[in-house]
Amino acid sequence: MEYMSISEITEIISDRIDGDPYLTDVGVVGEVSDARRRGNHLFFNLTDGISRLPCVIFGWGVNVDLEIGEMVRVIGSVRVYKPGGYYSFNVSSIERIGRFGDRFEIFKRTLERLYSEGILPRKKRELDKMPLRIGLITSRDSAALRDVLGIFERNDVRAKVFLFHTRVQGGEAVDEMISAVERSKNYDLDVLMIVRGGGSKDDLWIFNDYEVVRSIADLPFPIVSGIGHSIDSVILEKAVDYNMITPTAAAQLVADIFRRKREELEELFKRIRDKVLDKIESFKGELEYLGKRLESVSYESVLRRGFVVVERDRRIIRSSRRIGVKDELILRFFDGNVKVIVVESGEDVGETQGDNLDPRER
Amino acid sequence: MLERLKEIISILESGDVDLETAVELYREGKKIYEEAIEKIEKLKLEIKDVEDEE
Repeated sequence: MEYMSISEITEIISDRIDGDPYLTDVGVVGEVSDARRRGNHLFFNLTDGISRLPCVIFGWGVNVDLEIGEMVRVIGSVRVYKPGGYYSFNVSSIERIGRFGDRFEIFKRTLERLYSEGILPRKKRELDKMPLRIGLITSRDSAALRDVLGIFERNDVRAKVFLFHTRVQGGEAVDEMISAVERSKNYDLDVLMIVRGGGSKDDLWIFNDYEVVRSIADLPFPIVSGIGHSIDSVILEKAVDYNMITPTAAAQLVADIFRRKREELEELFKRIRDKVLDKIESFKGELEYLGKRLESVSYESVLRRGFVVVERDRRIIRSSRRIGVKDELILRFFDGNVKVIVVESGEDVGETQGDNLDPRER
Repeated sequence: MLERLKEIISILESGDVDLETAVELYREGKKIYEEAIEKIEKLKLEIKDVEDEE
């Protein structure tokens, strides 16, 4: 295998494209999907709802004002921009041919109406709990449904999915979709997903319908949309809480939240356990300290310091005045007891050394 | 589930809890956690076509 450099392969691509008669001085019609100016040049994209063509007007772009959604016819050639590794359509002339039928106006009016009636912007709802009951509005025969369930299976999402079947394109589908949305309100859902695969502007038009958007904006639970693979936006996106570009992305979002909530549960319990263990350790430390203090003032430790408990007839004698000569006393030391008979008592006893003292004590 | 666990943590972190109360809170938290895990483990992905049900 021989390997080329990037420049070499780009050169080959450029040679094939630049100068190709089918791509030189050709006419293209499309809808402007975005436009931006850089100096005297105008960069914009044309779309037909399925594909996108990056365009550029060099030099005289300063004189052109394009609006998003307007239809144009352009003449130009496809050229490869080698440093960027992409192609673009270099426009030599442009003709504005108005809007996309009446639909752009309808789109604008619908949007304005939804905003003026306070239906948009919808108050965002966060999906902040584990999604165990998931509503799904889509066609039961669709690839979008298979994509969503495939993601859920791969991510071990353990949830009950309620499928509210509806057709997802065509004028006849509007009532079906509204009916599906209304039915979903009877279910205690943690989240509702609305998904369909990619399509043309016509195919996706249902998601710009006023009644459809209004019914969806009214739902009481978080909504995730995955209308893919559209290049242009639909009004529905402004009425949902999470707008994802494809059904797969929408399903992955829900699966990720499921997994994160499970992890959060584990983490919360671990924190509780750790807090209580800290508390127990702290309590043990305090207990040990108190134990030591108690030990220092205990009966036994006092005796060890040389004190003696004096008892007569099993009663502790606390005062020498209660002791008389010939009394039999028990002296309790820390390490044993001694029985004694008093030979002398009084305040002066033991103050002076005398022959009566035991020589072992000297 | 999670909300109560967060509340328990908040109480424990406040520092105004004696040991006995802390242990009781731990027991409660453990019970919530175990019940939640048991519930999740028993679940499986289930698809219900609402039209079939109605």
